[in-house]
Amino acid sequence: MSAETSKKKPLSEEERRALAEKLDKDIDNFIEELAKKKNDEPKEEKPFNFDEWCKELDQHPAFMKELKPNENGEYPESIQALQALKYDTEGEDAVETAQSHKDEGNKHFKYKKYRWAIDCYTNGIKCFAPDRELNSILYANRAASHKFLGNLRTALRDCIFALKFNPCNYKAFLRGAECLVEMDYPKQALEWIETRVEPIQNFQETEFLTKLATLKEKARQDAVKQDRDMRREKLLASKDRAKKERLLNALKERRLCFKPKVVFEDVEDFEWSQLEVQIPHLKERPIVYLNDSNELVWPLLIQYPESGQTDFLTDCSENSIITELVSQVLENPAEWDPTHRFNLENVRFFLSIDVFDEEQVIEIDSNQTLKSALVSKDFVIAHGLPVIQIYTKKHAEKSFIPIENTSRFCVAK
Amino acid sequence: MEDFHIENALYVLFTNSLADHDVILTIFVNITAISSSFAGRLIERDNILPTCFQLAQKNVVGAAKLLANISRHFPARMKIELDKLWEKYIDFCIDGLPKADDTECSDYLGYIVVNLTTIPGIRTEVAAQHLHKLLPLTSCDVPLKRRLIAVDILRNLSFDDELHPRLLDPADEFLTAILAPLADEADELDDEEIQNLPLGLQYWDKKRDANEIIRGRIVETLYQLCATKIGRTVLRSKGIYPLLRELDKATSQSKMENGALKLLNQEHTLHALIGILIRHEDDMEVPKDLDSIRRLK
Repeated sequence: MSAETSKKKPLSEEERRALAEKLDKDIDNFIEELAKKKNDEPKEEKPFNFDEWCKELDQHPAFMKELKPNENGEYPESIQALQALKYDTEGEDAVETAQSHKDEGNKHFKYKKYRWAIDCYTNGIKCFAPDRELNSILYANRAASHKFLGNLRTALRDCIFALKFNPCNYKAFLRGAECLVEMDYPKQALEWIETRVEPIQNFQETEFLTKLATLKEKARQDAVKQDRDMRREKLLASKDRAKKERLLNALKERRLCFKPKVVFEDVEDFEWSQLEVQIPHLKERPIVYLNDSNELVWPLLIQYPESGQTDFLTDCSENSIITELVSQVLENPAEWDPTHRFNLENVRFFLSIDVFDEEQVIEIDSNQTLKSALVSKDFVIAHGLPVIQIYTKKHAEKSFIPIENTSRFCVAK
Repeated sequence: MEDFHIENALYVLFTNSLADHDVILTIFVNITAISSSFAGRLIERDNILPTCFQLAQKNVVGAAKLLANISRHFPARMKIELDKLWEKYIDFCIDGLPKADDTECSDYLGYIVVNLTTIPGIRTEVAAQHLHKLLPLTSCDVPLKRRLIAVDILRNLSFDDELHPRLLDPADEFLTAILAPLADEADELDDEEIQNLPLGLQYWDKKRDANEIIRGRIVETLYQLCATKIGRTVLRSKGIYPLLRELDKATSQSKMENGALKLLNQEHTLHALIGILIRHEDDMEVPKDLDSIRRLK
């Protein structure tokens, strides 16, 4: 029973009092009747069941923790009602639905839930609402979400769509340029700005203008830096190429042979790694080089096949005599050579060569220069590292059979 | 003695018959090339300048040539007329310069701007609003005439001490644009010298401008920039000296090879410039409160 308030006729003091009394009496009667009704109908008192009470509570939308359909695939009634209220597009305008998706997306965006926001905006886009500005905003907002997630390319793509729907969307315009700058495409950013700024020419809001000016300046500077870096790369590359050419020419001049084969004419395809020496326990990769006096300087491996040992030398100038190079090494006995068998007076020097199926060696004179040793016929430098074998005189006598008229020897079986 | 009868007749012809404009313009151009008093009288006439302004906008070369000549004699008076009758004339003239269509008219409109930049107000306007259009024109790819016009305008700007802070702002755009024609890929700069240069000039990969006059004008521009303390400070801090050193090496060598007469003035300016930049500010004995050494007696 509700009190009717009709203010059409002003009541007199008496009339008002009479009305008030009547209303009070009506209320009292009503309540009494209700109470009577209750007492007249005996009801069974249900015992309070906590579990059921919880379950009922869980069915209430305000307290629901999970959304699961029951056996019939239906959601609780209250949920269904709410869903109908929100998503039912039957008879509703696509624009309205899209807008509600947009609004929901914006809410998620505010709380930095970018992936949820993207889903909402995508749903809004899928409505295909016939509203250009709305679609532009949907794409632009999705672009912003992607940008915050770091998906710059996707964000850029969405900016393009946003501007297609509305070329005046200054946010999409700015954001697209920002994406390009962050992706390290400053020139493309400047081009983007130049080609798309016209519809936005008249937008004079200071914040936008400042942002645009700052962005343009950054893009310009980045472009200058990029150009400088390209010029530097070009210069370094040409210097490197010149260095390669010098070395290859020097190697060609001396008629050296390498395995794997080095084509001296092919400067473009030559890689330093073809001649770099890779030794397992050595961090650096020594390589032959030309010094200031135009001499080749080599890394060198000395093998002692008798004892299975090696010595590794670097910076051996081609014009040095073999004796010079090894004297320091042979001066003091190595740990594996306690009796100092390997000393200058007691050794001979050989180069291993591969001829047909035989194992052969060439003896080199200790007074030869490294340069002349390296060009010995059939001698091949493997993987940029020339190898000289040192044998004790006694062992050499045993192991090698001289080949007539040459300084070559066959290895005895 | 001037023959005013002929002059008056020419004025009448000019005013009345549109068809003969070209011929009369040529006559005016030839006379104003040598006679400043005649140019002055042309300005006085009501209809000569206004007509020329309109014709110039329509690409009539004769009109542009005439305006160029008059502006050489009386830039200030011309400016007054221009301000009255031709809105945004600077924009129009400068915008025509980058155009690749090679119209002579744009050249002469450019000369007008060069002449006008002898006026401080014009210089301020050009420096404030039109620099970004002029700077790209110093590149070697740009045709010689336009390059020279751009360099001349920029050079005129450098005479204005108050513009130095604007020209030498941290973005280095002006500096890069005027130094680019002096830099050469063969310059021998060590890594540290390269690092000190403005970014746009590092690892330069083109040849220097072959035209001596342009190079000379640029050296003069740099010399003018040294008039102020800020100019000297910036030029020293941007590591310009090594570029000039290499320029000097290259240009004096080629002079010797060609057996040509030395252009004494140009070399002198370059050496004076280098001299200023090598020294420390303290060594220069410039009074600290002196903002421009132009004021030194």
